[in-house]
Amino acid sequence: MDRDTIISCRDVSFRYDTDSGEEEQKAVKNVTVDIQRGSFVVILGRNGSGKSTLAKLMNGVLIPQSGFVTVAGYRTDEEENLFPIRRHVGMVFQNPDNQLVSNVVEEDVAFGPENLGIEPSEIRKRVDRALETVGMKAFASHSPHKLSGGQKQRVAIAGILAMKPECIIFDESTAMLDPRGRREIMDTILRLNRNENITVVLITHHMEEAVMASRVIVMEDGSIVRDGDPKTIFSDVPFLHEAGLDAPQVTELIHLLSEDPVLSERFSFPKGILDEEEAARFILKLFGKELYGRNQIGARLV
Amino acid sequence: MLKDITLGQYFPGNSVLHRLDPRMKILLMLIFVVLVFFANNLLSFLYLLLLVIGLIFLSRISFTVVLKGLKPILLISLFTALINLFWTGGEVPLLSLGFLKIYPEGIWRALFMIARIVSLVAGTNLLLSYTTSPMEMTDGLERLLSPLKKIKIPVHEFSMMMSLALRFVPTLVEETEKIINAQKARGADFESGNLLRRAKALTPILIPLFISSFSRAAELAVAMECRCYAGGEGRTRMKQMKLTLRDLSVFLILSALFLAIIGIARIPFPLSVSL
Repeated sequence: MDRDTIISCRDVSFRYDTDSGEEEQKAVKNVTVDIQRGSFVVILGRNGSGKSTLAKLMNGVLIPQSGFVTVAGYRTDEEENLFPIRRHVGMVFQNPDNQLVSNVVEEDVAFGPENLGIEPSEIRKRVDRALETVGMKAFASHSPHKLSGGQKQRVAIAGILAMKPECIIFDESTAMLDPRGRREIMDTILRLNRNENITVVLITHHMEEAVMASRVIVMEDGSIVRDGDPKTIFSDVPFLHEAGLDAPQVTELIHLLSEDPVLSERFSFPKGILDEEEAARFILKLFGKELYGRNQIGARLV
Repeated sequence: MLKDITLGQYFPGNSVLHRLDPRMKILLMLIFVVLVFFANNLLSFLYLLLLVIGLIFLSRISFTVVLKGLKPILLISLFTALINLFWTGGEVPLLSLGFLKIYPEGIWRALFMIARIVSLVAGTNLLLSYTTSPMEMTDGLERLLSPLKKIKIPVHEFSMMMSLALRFVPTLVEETEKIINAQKARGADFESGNLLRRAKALTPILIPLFISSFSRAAELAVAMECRCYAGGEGRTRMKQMKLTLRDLSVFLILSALFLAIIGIARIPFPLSVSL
């Protein structure tokens, strides 16, 4: 394993136990994947595709039945490694209410470093810095249950940050939030990845979030079916639909236009348009031949 | 309706009581609880109420909050008062309705009972739950009880459980309200019928609440493990607990004021009732 890899899964399979004793379908089947340090990886897939299970295998919450996972060189199937693994890889869950342990924001953030046995003065510093990074400094002495969903989730992120992990896994952390909360969390995640150089693994089913990633992994039925940069993944809209996913709205729009026989004959359609501005330019090119001179916005864009 | 429950809730602040060392607060609370039972005459009960009002000022918690905190005990204090009103014997009945006779002693006794329950709950709320964050409270309790660790009593685990329970009070209250509304939307009726029927009507609230609490607990356990929680051993604290001279003097002054009840209770006063 090279030094740039933080998490590596080798031929990993996992199956949940059922109460009735009958064999459950494997949730994750023979997955081999490496996560590079400093990257921003999004794992996509419909419900039951095994994406959440894969995330839980990545920091030792679940232990694979076959194959193995290493985190920063530690194997997750060895009990004594769990502590160091969780120091390297933190995890933020879906429901912010179920991961906050204290009635006071800053005490909750301090929970992780306290468990690590860090000096009180150092904990104080880490807590202040973590709250500042997620923009929740002003709420340090507030009670979490009075905060909005997005704010609570930012506190949960701060709680992980204070442990100074190299990598954070977000297990559908935006799923329970309203659009505004989602944007807050996405901004925070991007900042962590770019400014703090923290490796991010984001499990989601919101395509707009996947667009910002440096790498997108698509899962179906417990296996990885696609793995590449967002542009490549999203250029194949029919495949996404087959996997039970949508493309980002603009990509979907351009795809629909390209299916029009008249238009597709006259124009060559670019693949994988992800960005609204890019899409707007292209649409203007389609319809805008006569608009050029007359329309100011058109003139500016084209 | 459930939103009004403030029992066991912390109100962040920076008052004398907020800053007092939690260990001192726990001890003060114990002293207070014991001494409430020494009050036996009008004078000592007035003094008790004075103490509670004093605590309200010291904690800078608003009166309305304290009153709201008393709501849950409204029924119990009324019930106790009524029993004492009718079942206290005396010499000259004030009022007599058939077999029910009300004596002046009964009235006093009923009033004293209300005063006792109210000051008991308000006092402990002010000294501890309103002014101490759950983390501080468990820390304090853990340190106070730490000698018990030597005889293998899981003090840390116990205090952790307590603070988590307190942390989840508002969350579960919210959840209960959601479930009630969901069941009402499906035509559930919680308001009519006799007591038995109404108790039965609670089943569709309690079962979902239990199930969701269990799954919450499971998720919380995983989240705590992911944050490297492994029990009390090797844990440090961000907020170190150090007894300052200030803590000690506040403790001494308050406990002296509390202890004064014993003295006041001994002053012969016309309106005294042996309780």
